[in-house]
Amino acid sequence: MKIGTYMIWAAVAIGTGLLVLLGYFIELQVLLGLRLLLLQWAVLLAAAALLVGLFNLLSVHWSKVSLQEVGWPYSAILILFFLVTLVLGLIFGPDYEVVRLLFNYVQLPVEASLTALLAVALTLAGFRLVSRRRDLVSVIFLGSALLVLIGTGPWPVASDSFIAQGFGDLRAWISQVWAAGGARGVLLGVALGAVTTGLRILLAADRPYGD
Amino acid sequence: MTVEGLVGITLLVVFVILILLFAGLRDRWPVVLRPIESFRLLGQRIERAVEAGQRVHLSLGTGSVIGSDSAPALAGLAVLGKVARETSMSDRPVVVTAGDGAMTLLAQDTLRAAYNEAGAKDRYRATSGRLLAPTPFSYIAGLPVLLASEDVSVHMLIGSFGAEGALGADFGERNRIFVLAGTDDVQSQALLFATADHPLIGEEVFASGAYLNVGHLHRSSIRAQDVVRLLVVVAILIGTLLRTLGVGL
Amino acid sequence: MADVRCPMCGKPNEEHAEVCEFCGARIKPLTVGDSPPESEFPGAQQPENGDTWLSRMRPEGDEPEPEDAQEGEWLGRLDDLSDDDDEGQAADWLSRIGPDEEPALPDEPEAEPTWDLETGAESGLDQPSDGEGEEAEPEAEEEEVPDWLGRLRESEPQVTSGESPAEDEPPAADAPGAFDPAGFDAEGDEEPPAFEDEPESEQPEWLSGMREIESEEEGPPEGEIPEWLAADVGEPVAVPEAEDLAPAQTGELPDWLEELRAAGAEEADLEEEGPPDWMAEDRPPEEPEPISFESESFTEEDAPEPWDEGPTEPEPAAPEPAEPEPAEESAEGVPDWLSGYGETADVEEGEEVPDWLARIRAREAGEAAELEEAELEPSEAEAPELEDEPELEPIPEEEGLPRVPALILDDEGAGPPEQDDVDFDAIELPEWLSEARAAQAEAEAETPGEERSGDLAPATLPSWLEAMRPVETFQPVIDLEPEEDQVVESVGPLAGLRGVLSAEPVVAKPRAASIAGTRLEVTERQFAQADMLRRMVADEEREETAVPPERRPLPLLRWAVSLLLLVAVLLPIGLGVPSFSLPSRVPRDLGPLISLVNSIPTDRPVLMVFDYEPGFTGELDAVAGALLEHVMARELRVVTLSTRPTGPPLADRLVRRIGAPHQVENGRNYVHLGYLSGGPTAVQLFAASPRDAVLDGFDLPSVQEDRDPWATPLLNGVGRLSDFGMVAVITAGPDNARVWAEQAHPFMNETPLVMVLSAGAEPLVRPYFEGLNPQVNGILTGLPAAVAYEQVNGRAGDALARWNGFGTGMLVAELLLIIGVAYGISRWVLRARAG
Repeated sequence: MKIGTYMIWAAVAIGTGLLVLLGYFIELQVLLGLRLLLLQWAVLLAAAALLVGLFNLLSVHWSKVSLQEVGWPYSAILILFFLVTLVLGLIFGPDYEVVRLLFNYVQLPVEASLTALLAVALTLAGFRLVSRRRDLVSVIFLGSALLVLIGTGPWPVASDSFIAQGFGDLRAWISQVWAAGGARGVLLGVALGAVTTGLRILLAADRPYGD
Repeated sequence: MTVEGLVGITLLVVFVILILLFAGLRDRWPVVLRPIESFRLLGQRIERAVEAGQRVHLSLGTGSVIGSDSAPALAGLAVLGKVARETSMSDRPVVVTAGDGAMTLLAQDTLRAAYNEAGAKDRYRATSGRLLAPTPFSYIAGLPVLLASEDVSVHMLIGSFGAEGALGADFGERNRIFVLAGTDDVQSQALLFATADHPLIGEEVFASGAYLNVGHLHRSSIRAQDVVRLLVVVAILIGTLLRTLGVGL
Repeated sequence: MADVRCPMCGKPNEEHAEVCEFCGARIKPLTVGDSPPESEFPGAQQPENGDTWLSRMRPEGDEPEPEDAQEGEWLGRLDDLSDDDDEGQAADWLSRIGPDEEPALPDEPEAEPTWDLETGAESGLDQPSDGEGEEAEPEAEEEEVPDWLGRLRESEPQVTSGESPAEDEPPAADAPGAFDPAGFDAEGDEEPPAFEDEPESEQPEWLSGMREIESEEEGPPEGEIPEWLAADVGEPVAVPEAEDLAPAQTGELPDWLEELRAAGAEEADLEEEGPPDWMAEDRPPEEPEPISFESESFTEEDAPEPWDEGPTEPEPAAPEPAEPEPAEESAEGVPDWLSGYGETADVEEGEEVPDWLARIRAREAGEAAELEEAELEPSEAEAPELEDEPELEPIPEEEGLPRVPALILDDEGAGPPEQDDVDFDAIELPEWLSEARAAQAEAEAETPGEERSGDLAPATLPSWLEAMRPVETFQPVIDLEPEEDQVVESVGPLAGLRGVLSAEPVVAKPRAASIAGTRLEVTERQFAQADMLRRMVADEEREETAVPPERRPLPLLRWAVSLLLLVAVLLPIGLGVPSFSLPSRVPRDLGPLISLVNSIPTDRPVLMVFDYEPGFTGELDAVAGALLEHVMARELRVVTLSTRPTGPPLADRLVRRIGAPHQVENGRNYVHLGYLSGGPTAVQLFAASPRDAVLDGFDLPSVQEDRDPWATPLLNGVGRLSDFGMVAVITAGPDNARVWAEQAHPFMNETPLVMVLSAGAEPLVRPYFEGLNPQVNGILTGLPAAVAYEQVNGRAGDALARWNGFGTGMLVAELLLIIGVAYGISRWVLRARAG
């Protein structure tokens, strides 16, 4: 029974993946239409999955509140704002003024602050990096970062000087040649890894859909 | 069919053949993996976490299933299955979070399958696979509370992350727990290199399944990947040479 | 019903007859107290019922305790037990628990049976002794030795020669208990001479026959040792003092009590009373003093093994007839295995007896000589042997005589039952009782040497041997008990006999209690380990106080870095300093972009995709604002879209803010297509068919009834992606840029694709821009380019407003990185130098 179920799901997954993949490479109208149909289904399923995920989010925090686990007040606040925003969004739409206010004055500042925190974290990580990880790569990493920063940011004095211009060019050279070249190489490997991962799923070696 | 399409299909077919071939030759020609300290330490830390009754957390990132950024998350799901089996008997089984609803469902399915395989079906909890938040920064904002309240000692980030992934790794470092982070985004990899103790660079995130012995196809796919990489490198070199010689393609 | 059949001869007797009229065997078993015979062996029948055996013993405590007659006390108590069985106070009898503290009772001499195999069983065992006991009492009190014991001691020399005569005896006779296994086996077959003689007259035929056979076959008839016992005897264990050996056999206590008692009582008894001279006799003449290490260690400090306890002094088994024990059985003789039991002890003693033991024996021999005549007269069969023991040592026939005690005492010797033989030390008492006993034992242990008044010359131990001699470190499994403490058999054919060897202690009884009272000799290391163990146990028991979680150090460095960066960003905004010069050169990518925007026809709307998270508004709003400013300055219509749920409000926010100076109007100058769900997949769908992918707008004009954004007049004529005048993707990451460049660009035809990027994404997107067939037609990245764009636009926007703060923050970050690198490298170098 288990094997039969697993084979059904695997067959569905493999068939769907092959259709989309072939539709990308083979310009057959049938395949293209089928591929677009499957993509639309995927989008719909993703939206439905988002609802399921939101329900999961709510249930997790509801459980925290009911059990009064550590940090349950935060969960309670989350549930409160979740329900308020959801109700307002469902009734009045996402462009309702209150919802936009919530976005502009709650979510946006919070996320912007997190980005600022990221700047602090990166600066601190750079400060500690050589001390924490004593290797040449770390030194090169920080040296490159330093050069790019110097070449990117404005100079308090002599910004038009030859040195400033030189750092600007050096930064462009580093980022557009070395960094971009290295990044492309990395991306190539990442792409191969992604392809491999996808093929494993098509071969049913990986079954994230379960058994 | 265009030339690009033909090349693409050919490449995929070759890829599949190589994977299956190397899987068949795994006894004669076993795959030898380059030692990665991060994966070695990961096994140790997971064992310690199980012994100490602490939680292992796996973040699948903020990528969606239907996007190109789903690949690292799918690799993370393979790792999740392995880790879930290993920690199924722990007092505090693994918890997995995602920033996408569909990815959350896949995580729950993977957990369920892993517990079934481990014979611990009753230990499965749907809340072990969580949608932490639907947006990247809100997802990251939820991590500190999760790490603190769940007594997480192993913090793995294997999925698609933007720059916010560096912040997620930094939260783990603040808690002084084991942080292993890998993603497909090169920019984020650079940030993770600075903030995470154990960053996965390049395609290492896709090799995590092979290093954790998820299955022999993972190991054989690593070798197939290397072969195809060599082919691509050769193709790039040939193209560069031809372009240098003025031969248009 | 009126008749009671004798268990031995089977002949009917009167119902109330205590002994068999025909064979003299005891019909009514002797019991301790009033308890029925079957309850006398708590270890066997009621092991868990402590109250039962306690109740049986308590009556003993009612007896007065003469302080000076320590060894005879049990006689009195036994006597009283036979008369008065009421349960006395536990404290009373407990006060006599210690074997050394058991003073002879006033009626002790009376109670002392003169174990005569012929008559003792009938007359003596049940009846308290009268006249003779009284005569012996003074002596017993003076010498702290009951007269019966004295007689026994006197008889012992007859068996194996006296203390000194032991040297004269042939080895075969006096070395029955040789410590070497071979010798022991050979000697174990010997029987005590007293036993040999006594039972011959009245012992049952079967028993006498057996003894005869044994004596004939095996020489010194000290008693047979069963094979199993002989095997055990093979161990070189020293023989304890005679005082211990004898009572062990005759004690009326259950053997488990004997076993337990041996630990605490043996040594003091030995020291006080001294060994009987027979022990001295047993010593081989050639080695009176030489002491082997093994024997010494066992004989002095440690009680003997169980197999050498009881049988050595079988005679004391007789003095217990007064006790309501099954005397009829005792009268029938001792089985050969029992006689062998006694034999073993003799054999052992005969050889390697330590000097202290020799002294004790000598003293006891002297004492016994004084007592023998007064106390041991009643026993016809035994008296000659016992009384004349010192003198009769050389008597040849006695050398080989069995040492099994007389099974039947004569009437005179039928003293009170030796119920006090109960080994109180060995009993598994409750804790409160054990404490009292321990105190007694300590008191006893303090005065051991003083009482060693023997005739034996003190042995001279080499100093090194003396040093090696373990002191109280080993306690034998079963100690010999004073004869008065020995158990009187209550059931079976040996009922009434004292000191009957019970196999139970050897086989089944737990032996831990016998070691309880010993002191261990430990080394420093052992002590340290024990102390460590004690501390560990104490730690386990100690209630752990809640340990607060490890307090993390304050993130001072993080705070410092945050503060520095915050000040660096806010300082220029608040104070205007420091001020950074604006870029003097226009970036090389900006010119083409400006030209591209200027070339967009005004009748075609511009699609701007806000694919970034709210967290990146700080950078991307400024960069995208410059482009939007340029577009709006050209009065191009703007259509916004986002593949992220947070994109539409971001777009609305920026468009409203940038368009405010241009007085743009929703629906006329701009429209929001809203959220394109589906991520990268949706991008492809949108590129293929925009109207099918987007069905609902965001913040559409209120005048528009339909929620369909495509119904907006602004979008008239737009059905494909190529219908837009330009597509600008504002994104923070390269992935979105790549998606649009790869998925949407094929559907755009001549429509330019512009990327507005965060500075970090530029290196990865630039190849799409600088390629041979560029998929990206324009690129705008980073705040410096935005500042330059605003300069070109001629309108200061967000980029210029943040320029100084951006410059200061960058400068601080650079300094921090430099410091961090320098610090790390210096630590690295210093540690490398330090090795």
